[in-house]
Amino acid sequence: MFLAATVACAGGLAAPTGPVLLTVAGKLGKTNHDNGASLDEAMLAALPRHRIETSTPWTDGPNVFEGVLLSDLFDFLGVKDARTLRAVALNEYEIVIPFSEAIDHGALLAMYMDGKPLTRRDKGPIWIVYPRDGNPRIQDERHDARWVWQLVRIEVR
Amino acid sequence: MSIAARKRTISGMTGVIVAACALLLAFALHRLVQTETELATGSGESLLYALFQAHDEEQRLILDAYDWNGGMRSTGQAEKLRLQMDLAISRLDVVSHGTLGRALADAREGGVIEAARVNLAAFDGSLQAALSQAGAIPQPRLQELRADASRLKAAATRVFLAERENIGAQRDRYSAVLWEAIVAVLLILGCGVFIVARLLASLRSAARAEDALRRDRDFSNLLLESSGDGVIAFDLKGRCTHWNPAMGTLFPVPCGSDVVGRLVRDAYGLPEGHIILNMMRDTLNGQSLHMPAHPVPGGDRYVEKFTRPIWSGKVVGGGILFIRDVTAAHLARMQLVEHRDQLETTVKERTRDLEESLERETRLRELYKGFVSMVSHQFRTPLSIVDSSAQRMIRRGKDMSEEEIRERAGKIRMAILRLTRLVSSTLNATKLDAGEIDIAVRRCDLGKLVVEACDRQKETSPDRRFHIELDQLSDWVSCDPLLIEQVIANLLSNAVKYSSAPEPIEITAAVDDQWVEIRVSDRGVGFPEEERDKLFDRFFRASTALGVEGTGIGLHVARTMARMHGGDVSALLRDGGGSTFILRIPKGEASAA
Repeated sequence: MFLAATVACAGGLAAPTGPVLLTVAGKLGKTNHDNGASLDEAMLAALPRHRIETSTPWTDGPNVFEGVLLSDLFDFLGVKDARTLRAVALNEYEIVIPFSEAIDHGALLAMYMDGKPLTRRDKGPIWIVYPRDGNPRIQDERHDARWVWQLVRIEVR
Repeated sequence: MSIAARKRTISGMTGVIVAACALLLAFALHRLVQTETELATGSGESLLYALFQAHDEEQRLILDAYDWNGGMRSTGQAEKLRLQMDLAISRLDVVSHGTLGRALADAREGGVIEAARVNLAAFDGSLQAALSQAGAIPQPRLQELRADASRLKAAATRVFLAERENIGAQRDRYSAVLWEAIVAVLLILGCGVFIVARLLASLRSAARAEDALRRDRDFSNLLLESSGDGVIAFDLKGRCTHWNPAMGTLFPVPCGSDVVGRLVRDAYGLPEGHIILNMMRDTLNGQSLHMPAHPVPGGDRYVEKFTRPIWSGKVVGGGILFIRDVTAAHLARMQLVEHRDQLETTVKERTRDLEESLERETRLRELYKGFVSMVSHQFRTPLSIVDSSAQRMIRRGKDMSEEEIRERAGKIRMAILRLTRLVSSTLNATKLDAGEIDIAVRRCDLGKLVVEACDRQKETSPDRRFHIELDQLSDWVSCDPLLIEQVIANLLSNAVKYSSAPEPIEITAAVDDQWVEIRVSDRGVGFPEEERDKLFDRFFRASTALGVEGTGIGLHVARTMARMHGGDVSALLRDGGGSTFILRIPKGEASAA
C-alpha cells in the first residue's frame, strides 16, 4: 500500500534535479513524468557502475568504458516484455534495436572513456557501447550502427 | 591394350580428374574468400556519410550563427548554438579517429579535417565570447567556416568519386573472380559428370560382377547340394561355413539343427583329439589329407575322407572336408579279392594236378624205360641160349647124340621156363598194380608160413643155409597167407640170388605192441645207399645187381602186398656187408589198404 501510494504520488521515480541526460519512454514500471522517465547525472550515477574494455571502429586502440548496464537501467525502471528499443541521438540519428539482443550482448550506457567523462564534443554524454572484442557476432557493420553516441532518448516498445 | 591396363588407365584418369576437381574447388574458394575479405574491408560509404554529417553540422552551425548575428540572441538560441557547436566538433572528431580517420588519411583528405578543426576551434573561441557578451560573431570566422564547409563538401565529392572508382574497380575484380569461379564450377561440373559416369559404370560392372558371382555361387551350391559326397567347409576357427545335405545323410548332426556358423566340434559334439578334429587341424596347417576306406563305427558302411586346405593368397583361409560313401566300391573290391584268392587256389590246384600228371607221366616213362631195359637184358640171354642151341642142333643134325639132344633141349626148356617166369611175374605185378588181386585176411600162423617158404627155397638152392629165429613170434597173426608167403618168398629168393654160399641167410622176427617184423638178412652185394628209395620201384635194378638174373619186380610186388596189409617193406644195409629187408605188418587185424 505504501509503495502504491508512492507510485501514485510521483510515478515511482523522483524527479531529476540536474540537467536531464536521458529520457526513457514507453511502458515503464517507474516514471517521473507523463511520458516516462527523465534521468539526470545523479540518478544514473546511483545505478551500479559497470566497466568494459574493448576496441571500437571509431577510436584508436582499446578503451576502457564505464557506465550503467542497459539491463540494470531497465531493471531499475521496471521494464518488462519489451521487444524493441528506439535509440535517438542529439543529432536526430535514430535506430531500432531488438530489446533482447541489446541486453544479451551486454549494452552499456558509457559515460566515461579511459577514466574521462564523455562530453557532447566527443561521443557523450552517453554512448551505447558493447564488449565488441570478445564477441565476433557483433563485429559487423550492421551491429556497429547500434553504437549510438550522444544518446538522449530511448523508447521502449 | 589389355583389360587390366585399361582399368589402370581409367583409374589413373579418375584420380587425376578428382585431383583437378579438388584443385579447381580450392582455387575457386580461395578467390571467393579473397573477394569476401575485400568486401568486408570497404569503408567508403561510412566515410562519405561521416563527411556528410560533418558538413551538415557545420552548415547548421553556420545557419544558427547567422541567426544569432541577425538578432536572434535569446538564451534558447545560445543554447542551440552551443549544442550545434558541440555537434560540429564531435562530427569532426568522428572522422579524425578510428577506421574513418585512417580511411580519410588513406584518401589524403586528413588535411581538410585538420584545417576544419583548427578553424572550428577558433570559431568556438569567438562564439563563446559572443555568447557571453551577447555580441556578434566576427564575420571572418563565419567566412572561414563556410569555406571549411565547402571544402568538406569538395572532400566528400572526391571521396564519393574515389569510392565510385573503387567500387567500379572492385566490381571488375568481382566480375573477373566470378567468371573464374563460374569456369571453375563448370569444370568441376564436367569432372563431376565424368566421376558420376565412372561411378555409374563402376556400379554397373559391380552389379554384373555380383551377378556373375551369384551365378557362380548358385552353381557351386547346386554342385554342393547335388554332390553325393558329404562336403563341409570350415574357417580358421573350425567354424562351419558350408555344409551339404549329403553330409547330413552320411553324418547326421546329433541335435539336428543347422551346422553352418557353428563350430564343427560343438555341432557334432566331437571330443578333443577326434580324428576329424586332427584332420581339420592338419589341413589348416596346409596339408592335404586322405584317409582310405574304413568302416563307420556302429554301421555297415565304409567311407573315405579327404581334406584340402583353402588358400587365400599365400595363407590358408580355411579347409574343406569331403566324406565319400565307398561301401559299394569297397564291397566290390573285397569280392574281387575273394575271387582272386579263389582263382589263385584253383590255379594252384590245377598246377598241382598238372605237376602230378607230369610226375605220373615221368614215372610211366621211367617205368617204360625200366621195362624195356629189363626186357632187353633179361629176355635176350634166354633167347640167345634158345637160338644158339637151335643153331647147334641144325649144324650137327644127325650127328648129334640123343644125350646131347636131351641136354640141348633141356637148356632150351630152361630158357623158355625163365622167359615164362619173367612174363608171369610181369603180368602178376601188372595185375597187382591194377588192383586186380584181392586181399583175404585171416588168422594164420606166420612162423609156419616162414618155415614153409624157407623149405621151398631150399629145394631150389640146396647149397644155402638158413638161420631161422622166430621165438618172439606170437601164435597167430591176421594176414593174407598167400600174399605174405609171396612177400617172404620174394625176400628169400633175393637173399639167395644176391649172396653166395657159404654165407647163411638169417631170418628173425620181432614183435612189439603194434607191429610184427620179419627180417631177412644176407651177406650179399648189398646196394648203394643212394639207390635205397628206388629199390622198390618197378623194373629197377640196383647197380650192384648187374649180371644177376632178375626183373626188378620182386621188391615192388613185396612192398605193394605189405602195404595192402597196412604195413611196409624196407631195406637196410648191414654192418659188415650185405643187406636186411624188413617186412612189417600190423599185429592186430590187418586193415585192408
